[in-house]
Amino acid sequence: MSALGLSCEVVFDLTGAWYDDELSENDQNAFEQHLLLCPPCLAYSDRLRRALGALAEATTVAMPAELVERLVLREHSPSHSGLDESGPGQRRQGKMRIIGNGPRQ
Amino acid sequence: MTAHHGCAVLLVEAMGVDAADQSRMVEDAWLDTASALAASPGRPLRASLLGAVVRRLPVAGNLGGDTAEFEELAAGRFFCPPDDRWAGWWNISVPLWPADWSAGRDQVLNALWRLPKSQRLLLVLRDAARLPANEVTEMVGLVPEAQAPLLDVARQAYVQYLDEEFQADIERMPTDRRQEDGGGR
Repeated sequence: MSALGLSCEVVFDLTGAWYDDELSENDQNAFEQHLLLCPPCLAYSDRLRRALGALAEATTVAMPAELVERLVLREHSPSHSGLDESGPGQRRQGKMRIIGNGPRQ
Repeated sequence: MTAHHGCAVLLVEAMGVDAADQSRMVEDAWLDTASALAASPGRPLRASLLGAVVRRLPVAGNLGGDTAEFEELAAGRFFCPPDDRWAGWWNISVPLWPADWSAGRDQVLNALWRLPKSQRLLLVLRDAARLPANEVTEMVGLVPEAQAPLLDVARQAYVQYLDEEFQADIERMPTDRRQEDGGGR
């Protein structure tokens, strides 16, 4: 495949594979040479990269402290620890396994 | 942990779960995940959590189809038709987004909500959570070869809808800034 042999429509269809780094070396060269010659395709590939970056950014949400606490309490409750020597509602002391940073001091 | 949680929150929001039910759904998924990991600790946490969310969604196990509408739309709108001497070349102007513009979370969600649910699901799992195709196959029963075309169309439509969000931003700008930021297409 050569840059001049690629229509914009073909480049458009390949943009996802390019983003995922799944093009062969030859195809990637042809794709990127086409971008150099074609401002709209360059703009489109930049849009895709930034749009998917914004999607990943949108996952930046704080985990509520109450939820962390509930998970920790549950993880250390007798019914989940398999221990029956302590009564219901009593917390077992120990290191948290599911929440990676350990219990709050 | 927070990053996994953020993926789960985005997934329930993107899938249009009622705001009142979102927190409960994510919390239940965390509790399921904690139980499941106690039994098989080697499973990746993010995949486990998102799998637990997906099992609670009505669309689970119903991926596939619904790419034709956007493919037809894209072919007709974006590129010159086969009988044109410029067949296959852009039929519309595609200016660069200004370097200082970035989509906000609300704009990302607005763009996602315009996609069919199956495409939203795939886009969040593959491109927001960055799960590998084989993990997504386990969750939604769609083999990697079948995910690829659906993901392509989902990305293309999402970029198009996000561009419309950008255009709306341009429309809201004062006229002098609007011209600087390339809104005159």
